[in-house]
Amino acid sequence: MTTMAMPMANHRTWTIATVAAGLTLGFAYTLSPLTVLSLGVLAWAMRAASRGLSEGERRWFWSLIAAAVALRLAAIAALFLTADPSQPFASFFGDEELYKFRTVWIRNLAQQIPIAPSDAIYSVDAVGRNAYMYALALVQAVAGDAPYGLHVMNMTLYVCGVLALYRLARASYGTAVSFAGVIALLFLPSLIFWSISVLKEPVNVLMLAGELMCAVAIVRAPRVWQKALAAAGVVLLGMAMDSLRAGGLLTAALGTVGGISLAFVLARGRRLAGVLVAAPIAIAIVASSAAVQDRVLSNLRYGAHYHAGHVLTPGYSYLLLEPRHYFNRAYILNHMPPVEAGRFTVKAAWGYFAQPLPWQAQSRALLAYLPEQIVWYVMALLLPLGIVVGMRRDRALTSMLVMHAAGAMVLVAMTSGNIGTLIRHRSLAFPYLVWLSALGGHELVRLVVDRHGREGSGLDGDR
Amino acid sequence: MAIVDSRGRLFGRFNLLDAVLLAMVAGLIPLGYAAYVLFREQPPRLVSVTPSRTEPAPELRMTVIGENFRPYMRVSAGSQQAKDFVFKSTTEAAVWFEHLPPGEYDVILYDQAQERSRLPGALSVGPSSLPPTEIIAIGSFGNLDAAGAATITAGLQLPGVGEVVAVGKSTAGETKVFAGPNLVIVPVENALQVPAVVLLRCQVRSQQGHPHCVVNDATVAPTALMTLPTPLGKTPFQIDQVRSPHPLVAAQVELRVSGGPSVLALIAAGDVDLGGTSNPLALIARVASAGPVRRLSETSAEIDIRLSARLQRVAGEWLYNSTPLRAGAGVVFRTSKYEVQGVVTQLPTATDERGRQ
Repeated sequence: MTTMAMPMANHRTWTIATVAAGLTLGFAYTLSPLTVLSLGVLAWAMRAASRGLSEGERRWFWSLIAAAVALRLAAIAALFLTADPSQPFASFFGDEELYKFRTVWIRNLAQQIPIAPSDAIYSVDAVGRNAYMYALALVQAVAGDAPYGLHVMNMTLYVCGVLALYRLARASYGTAVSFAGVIALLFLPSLIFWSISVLKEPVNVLMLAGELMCAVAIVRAPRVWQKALAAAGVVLLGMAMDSLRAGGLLTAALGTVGGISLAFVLARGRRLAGVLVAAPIAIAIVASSAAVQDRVLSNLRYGAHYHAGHVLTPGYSYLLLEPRHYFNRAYILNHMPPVEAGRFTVKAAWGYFAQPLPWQAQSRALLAYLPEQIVWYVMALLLPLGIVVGMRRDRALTSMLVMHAAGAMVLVAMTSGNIGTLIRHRSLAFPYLVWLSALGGHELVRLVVDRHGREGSGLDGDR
Repeated sequence: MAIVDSRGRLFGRFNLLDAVLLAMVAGLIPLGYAAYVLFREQPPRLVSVTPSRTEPAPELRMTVIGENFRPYMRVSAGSQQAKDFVFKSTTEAAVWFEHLPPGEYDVILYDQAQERSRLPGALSVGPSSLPPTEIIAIGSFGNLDAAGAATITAGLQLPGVGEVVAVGKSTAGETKVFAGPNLVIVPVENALQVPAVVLLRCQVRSQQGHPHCVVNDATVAPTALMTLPTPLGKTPFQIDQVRSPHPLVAAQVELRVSGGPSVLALIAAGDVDLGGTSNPLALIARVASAGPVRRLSETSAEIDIRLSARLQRVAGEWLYNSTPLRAGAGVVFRTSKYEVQGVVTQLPTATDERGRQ
């Protein structure tokens, strides 16, 4: 009797559980189809990313990712529940409304659903237009209006990008470093908010992860056709990144070509020595050309002009030029002398790493950001060590990370001037840098532990 | 009896897990109902528009009545979107339109995404109940170069607006602008202006009970700066003087002018009254002859002068600068040197019909 009763109870329990799960899923799908579809994709990606992990590592992996996802879902739910009922929906950032409104208008125009005359004008406005808007319009043509589902979808894209980078880093740098990178990318407060925003940042992280994987595959793939396929992937994803933000293709191209070149040079001591001798001579020859000088100066002036535009936007800014120049941007673009352009370059590089200076925090938002700024300083200090160690562990991946990060950093450093925009755009380099910083941190801890171990042994010997 | 026995049964009858799952399934029913009540789409709907018939106006205010309105909604009349949507309640909102041309319009309600409700032909902006008419404006076309100035000639048609009746000689460009209550003349660099008399076809509109002649939503009045369609494109035209299109008649008017002896001594034959402007086409009267100044006391004197005036005769009445001219009526005579007031002693005796100008 007992042996019969238990299976019957299990069978009934499973039936009821299945029905309950189906009803819950249907209920959730009715409320937000995109949320259910996105979470399904995310579950699949997490499962795929956890393949081949040891038991302990898998437990850590699921705990970390589940906590990160739960935190984000809670934030999105809070946004939904605290929305002002006099508005159609709530958003984390003002810029998100551009995406939420405009993508629905574009979809409606495509489906010949009448919209307000002013909305028709703003739908095709050049300001803020990018390819992702059309992708979001397509998504909403399939899944319906999704002012909150888009947050979940973007979170899924971001987490998928992080998971792809995690697998890439884990294979080269090991478990501890890859987990440290995942923790940074999933739990730094500003990145939490960017990752659930309906902006282009989350999809950009997924694309740059894909592009980086393709770039590394060019070096590592065993067959020529695989290398060619990877190169095509770099170009396509670079173009996709460029459609989101100007400079995406340049970052991909410079990162890939530079990464391959760097890995090639560092592969042999003779090559490195040859480059160290030849590079200064080549640079001197090229730099002595008037055409090159004009081109470089022109680009620096353009960057400074762009920087001055950012300084004049609302919010807190930092200055890289003489204050008087900000009132005459035409002078910067057309007449800024080479000496000032040189000063601007040095200050821009310093500003990229140092701003916002902690003792100059002028608002509560900047004060709240201060802990993360300290984390950024620590990351920046650990970078050199991480790069050195990374070159020993996996030259190809480290070269790619360094050169891609350099591309993303130079573009932002040379054009930024608004603190909020700098913080936002600096996060573009994080997916490349966190692994190297984590590697530097890991190496530092290892060195300290080893030294303590040796000192401990020495003391014991003295006794 | 234990609530949950050793076999995991609730009150010895139900499996605990089954009970929890059943409760969950049962809980979904009220949850579903609550979600339906909370999230049920309550489609907004237009019911009526007030006023539904109106005349053209620079600013047309309307009240829309309906159901399930939200503060972020918008309204349009055909393809013309209202400038604002002032949410008063879920059933009422105020909207206003700028420069809505005559016609019959569907009134359409939109939310943040798309059209939600439409009242076909709910708003009719009819032609004004007052008929269209004509008016003469004397002023100057401005912001012209030499070639542009040459294109402004008598007989030039201004499409949809009127025609140029007469032009004067071009002079250096200037514009009258308001600086507080004062009118200030500012120069316009490297530009010419051409004085002109323009016949404007205008619409009479009642603005707060006061009738005005309106062309392209600009009221025709002195100092108004209009943009008129010319072969050069939209060309600025600043008005100095306005009068009716009735023909001008050259006539002799005699005045007895009183005032200080020193002021009256300035009056001489040939003095002209340009109505306080510098526009030669705005000529109202010219002193044909002036008698001797008669001293009445140390501080006062009088003089009889004869004016050669450009009058209009409307309904048997003479008009001097658009003002009725009667024996004994006061007339202001203003030149660039002096301004005096006289009394009409003799009405016109002879007429010389010359048409409009």
